[in-house]
Amino acid sequence: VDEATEVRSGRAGEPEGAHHDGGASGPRPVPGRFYADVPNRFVAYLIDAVLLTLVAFAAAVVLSIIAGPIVTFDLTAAPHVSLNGGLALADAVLSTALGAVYFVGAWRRYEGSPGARLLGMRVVRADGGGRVGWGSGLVRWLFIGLPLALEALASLALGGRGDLVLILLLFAWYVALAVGIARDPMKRGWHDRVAGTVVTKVASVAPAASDEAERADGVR
Amino acid sequence: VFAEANGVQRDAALNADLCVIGAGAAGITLARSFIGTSVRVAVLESGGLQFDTATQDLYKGPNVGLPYFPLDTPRLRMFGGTTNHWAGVCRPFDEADFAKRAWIPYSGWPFGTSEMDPYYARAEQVVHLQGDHWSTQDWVKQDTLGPLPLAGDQVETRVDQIVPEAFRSFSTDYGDQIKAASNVTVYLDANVTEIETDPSGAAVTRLRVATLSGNRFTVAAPAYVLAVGGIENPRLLLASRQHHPNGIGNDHGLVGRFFLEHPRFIAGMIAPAERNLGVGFYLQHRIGQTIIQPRVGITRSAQQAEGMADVQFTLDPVYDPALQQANQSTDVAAMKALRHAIARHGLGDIGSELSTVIGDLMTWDRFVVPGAPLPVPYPEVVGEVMRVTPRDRQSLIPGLLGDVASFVYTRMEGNIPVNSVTVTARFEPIPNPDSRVTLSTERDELGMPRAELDWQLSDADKHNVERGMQILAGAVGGSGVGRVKITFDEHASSWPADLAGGYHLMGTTRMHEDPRRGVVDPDGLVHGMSNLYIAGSSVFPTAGSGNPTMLIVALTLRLSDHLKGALR
Repeated sequence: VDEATEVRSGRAGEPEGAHHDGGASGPRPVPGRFYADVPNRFVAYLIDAVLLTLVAFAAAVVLSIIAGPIVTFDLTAAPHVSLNGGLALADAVLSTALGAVYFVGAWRRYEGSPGARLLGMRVVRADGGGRVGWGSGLVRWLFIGLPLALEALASLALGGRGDLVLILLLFAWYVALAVGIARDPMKRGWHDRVAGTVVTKVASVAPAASDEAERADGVR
Repeated sequence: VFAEANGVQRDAALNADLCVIGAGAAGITLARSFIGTSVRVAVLESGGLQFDTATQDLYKGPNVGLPYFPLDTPRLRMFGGTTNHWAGVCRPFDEADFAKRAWIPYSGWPFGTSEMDPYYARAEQVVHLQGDHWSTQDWVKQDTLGPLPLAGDQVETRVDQIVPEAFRSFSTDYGDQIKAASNVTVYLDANVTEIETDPSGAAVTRLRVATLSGNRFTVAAPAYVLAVGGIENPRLLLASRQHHPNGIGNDHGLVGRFFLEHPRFIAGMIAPAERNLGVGFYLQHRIGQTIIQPRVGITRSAQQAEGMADVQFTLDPVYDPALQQANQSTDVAAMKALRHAIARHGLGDIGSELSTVIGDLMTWDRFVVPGAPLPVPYPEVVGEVMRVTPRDRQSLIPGLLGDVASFVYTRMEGNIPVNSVTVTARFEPIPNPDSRVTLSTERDELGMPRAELDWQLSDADKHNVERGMQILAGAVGGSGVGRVKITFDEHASSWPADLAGGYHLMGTTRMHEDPRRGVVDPDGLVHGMSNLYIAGSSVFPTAGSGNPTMLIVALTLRLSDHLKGALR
């Protein structure tokens, strides 16, 4: 309730970047924007996940063409399916690197990943709303992409044993990030706080000039 | 209620109105039928509520005939008895099973289906079957799968019903009811070591009871029912020699003779004419709430024409080697153990099975692009699955999705193509006085002579199986679905190495009106005795075409009706 009130009370007409209000730390979103909440962030991530999965699949195709098949089949002998562990490792590194470029590059270049931009969200610096730098972006990515990479590597290293545990741990990690976002007044997750970023979203009816109008925006 | 035999005062002389020896399918059924009556029932059960190795050890004894299970494995010495590992297979005996068949020596029961059908109807309730649905046609109509179009009128399809695993144990099913019954006392850990009679030998006066911990006491009642199974029933009679030098009920030397099983072994295979022969119908599968197991059998008219006893065939598909291997994998074994444990409400430690099964179910995770946020298969996997034929595609299942997924596929899919079909023949043996239980010179922990089993089959049995296979081969070949390769040869000097029984221990105190031809009369009363009855499959004069448990229950319900009259 507090957060909602705070967002709605965001003062209209203030210039971007002038945003300090006694008592609350950090910026307030500019008029017509609010802090992006968990459902928005989740859908944005889902879009990114689909895109990135397509990218990773395409990369696996390329890798497979260049370096040879990652999985081989032989219907005449058991086991029918075998995995080239070295190439699988290379593919994991490749997917991870592409993921890092995808996110860090998009934050730097477009102030948001494709999924975020599609939903009218921006990832900006918490201290003034500027673009996220390469370093901050990389730090932020470590929270989002690295656990996925670690899960993939651990799964490969363990030869498939404990996959369910690894997947549950990964899932728990994302849930924890989401809980962090939900509980923060400015909807900043751990990744935002460590990287010094904040995610804002454009209100669907813009521009709003009054509290009344903002309430009608369906801010929550 | 349950009582611990070790808690009974030493050398106490307990009394009851009815004393039942053994708390298995028969003993529990009998005791239950007296719940709420004024009859005080004492049930003496050797085991406890849980399996105990020292108690089970009392079952051990030498096998001196055909190779048979070690005698402590086909039965369970505990409350609930052998129902604790029952496979739940049921089909009632038909008229021909009960009838005297002139071409089968020693065949014929004192009664037939008209006598037993009402008791079968009640027995179906006891074993938790859905009801009286034994018509093959009705099942075939409801089934999405179908029987093979076998040629001629010499073979038929038979449908067994399978009791769901959760309901198979009489201990689980009826333990609470027994526990709450004030007029029924089940003494646990109570081994009857001797049946004592009056000096004339015509009436039982009391039972001697011993526990493995050394307690001793006696139990007396106006009537006694012996219900400890096809090996222990004759063993206890033979070992009770106070006033009967040859054992109780053994004036004509019949106690322990005519031991019957339902022998089975792989007798051949069907080579399908087409690779796509589907035999899913012959697997255990569910129709609505009911699990059925169809089989093929020789028709009664063919049996009569051929002078044969009953022969039936279980058809087991042999899949593509990959699927076959998966079905026999440790992963699937772990899954079955887990399912078993869950159905039995968590017997034992399931940790390792659980991790094995989960590990196997996660097989797919090895074949998705690593580091991609959502699971997407490697390009090669997508390509291969799209490229290969449906038949090859199914053989990729174990590798890509795991053994358990493959097993489930073979069960769910029903009619998946098979490489061949294994034919297991199971037959009704000709009653044979030389197939018998006697007392061994070895003694058990309680000083009782151990049972010794001399299982015998005859050349006539061999001929029956061979002829049965020839008839099946004719029906399969004539239909065009394939050709049967018969691997059994009746002229071979020995039975096949995989000859086994069905854990069906029958015949050793057979029922007959004539004391010279049977141990018990049609009421189950031991000939020459006034108050000793026998319940269970040891009274079966023939092994029949159906599995014994439901008939054990039905006969016991019949006996309890008789006893209710006799005890009044």
